[in-house]
Amino acid sequence: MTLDEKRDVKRTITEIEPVSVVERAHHMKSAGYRMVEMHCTRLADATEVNYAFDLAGDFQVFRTRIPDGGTLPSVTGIFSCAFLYENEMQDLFGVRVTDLSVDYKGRFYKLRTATPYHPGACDDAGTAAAPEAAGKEG
Amino acid sequence: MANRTVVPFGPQHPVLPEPIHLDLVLEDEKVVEAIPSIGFIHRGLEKLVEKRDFIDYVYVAERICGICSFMHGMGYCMAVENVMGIEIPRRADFLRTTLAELSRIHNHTMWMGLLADAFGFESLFMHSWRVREIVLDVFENITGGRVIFSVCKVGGMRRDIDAAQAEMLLTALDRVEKELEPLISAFSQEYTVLHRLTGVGVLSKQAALDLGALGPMLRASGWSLDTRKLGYAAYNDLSFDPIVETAGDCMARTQVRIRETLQSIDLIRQAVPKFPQGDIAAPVKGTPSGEFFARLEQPRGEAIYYVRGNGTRHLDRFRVRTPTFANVPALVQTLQGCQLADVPMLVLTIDPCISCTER
Repeated sequence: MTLDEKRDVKRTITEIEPVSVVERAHHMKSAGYRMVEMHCTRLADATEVNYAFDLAGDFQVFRTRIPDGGTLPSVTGIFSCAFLYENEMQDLFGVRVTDLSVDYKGRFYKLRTATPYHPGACDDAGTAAAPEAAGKEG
Repeated sequence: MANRTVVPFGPQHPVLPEPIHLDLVLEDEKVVEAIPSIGFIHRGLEKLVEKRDFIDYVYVAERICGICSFMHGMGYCMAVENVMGIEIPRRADFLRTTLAELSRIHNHTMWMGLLADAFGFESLFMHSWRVREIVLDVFENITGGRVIFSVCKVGGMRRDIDAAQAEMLLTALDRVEKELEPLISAFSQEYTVLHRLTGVGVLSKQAALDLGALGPMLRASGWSLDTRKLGYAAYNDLSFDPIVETAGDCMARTQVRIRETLQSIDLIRQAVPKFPQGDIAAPVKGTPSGEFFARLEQPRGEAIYYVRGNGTRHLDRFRVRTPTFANVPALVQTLQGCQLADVPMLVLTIDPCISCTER
């Protein structure tokens, strides 16, 4: 068995624009995919957001970039379980998510440092994603 | 309409070994809404990857959780090995599979005890943990550790299982299987157990999928989804089908875990005679550059390990999505409409691991 054969059955990563996120989520939902996870990776001047879906081993990732200070539309209207991931994005990376169904407003994690993956994100965003988090004891 | 009251459940509660908080909105004794809060012990282990050598980080990954410690190390190693194009020896695949299934038996027997304790059946709790002790003794014999083993490394394994240890392992499994019989009988036929678990916390098949439920939580609602069927490690060479129940209640989730315990015993019995001869580790040359999503089936469900390397000895990103994190929305759903007295059972039937969730 080669290393490629040992890898996941199928795995594709597709780059999309932030405005297409909700439309893509709708498409995946109607095609029967389940939401597997969402996560962020901090880049030099932006935050990369990954949305992973699976259908019978077909693992699809959609990737978009949010420039500092930008916002991202929530997909909780399509996949209700996304509220955990989107609150995590706000707390750890300072990515502002609009229309979140359950918004903890920066209180999802009890952090000593606000947005630890992107220090100063609250200032970048104009309105702080986690205004009370800075300096709060864990 | 009855008066509404809010009852705080956790983060310190007798049924919770780790801190999670739920605000339970009640109408009399009925829960009408549950609002979860986590983050009390967030440790920032993902962030730590930027400051640790990618080889050394296995030790950190193993400490994400005490019960799934081996599998966390294995998932991290699988991701890094795929980024670096390292093909580990087939014997290492079998060793990893064996220890992963032993970890599943460990987890499920421990969980059976915790569940029994939650509804006040203390002798069942003690018997379940007595069985778990056999598995911990096997771990100690094979790896030298009972909780954190540090036997998985990038490129393969650090310790082998010799013929005598394999024999000891199979003998121990015979004993585990025998000692499980009365436990299975109690969990399946005892009146008090049936009364507390049957028809409680039903999660429908569609809701389980929509809410992103995983592992036994998902399979107890009728979905035949098990990441092991992707064939990672040695699972391609082993014969098994995912354990599925359809009722979606606490009893179904219990039955899935009981049957998975027996299935893990069977998988190890299949694997041990097939151990290939040869090395247990491949050489690791260079540094990781690229990214990979590794997926494996932990006892609590599918876990995702994402790594991104930049060509140095420090990774840019390590992300682990643990099953408890994904099962929180399903827990919140099952809590709506339940009785306050059933909340501990419902919380336990997702098999919560807050260590994993907080990373």
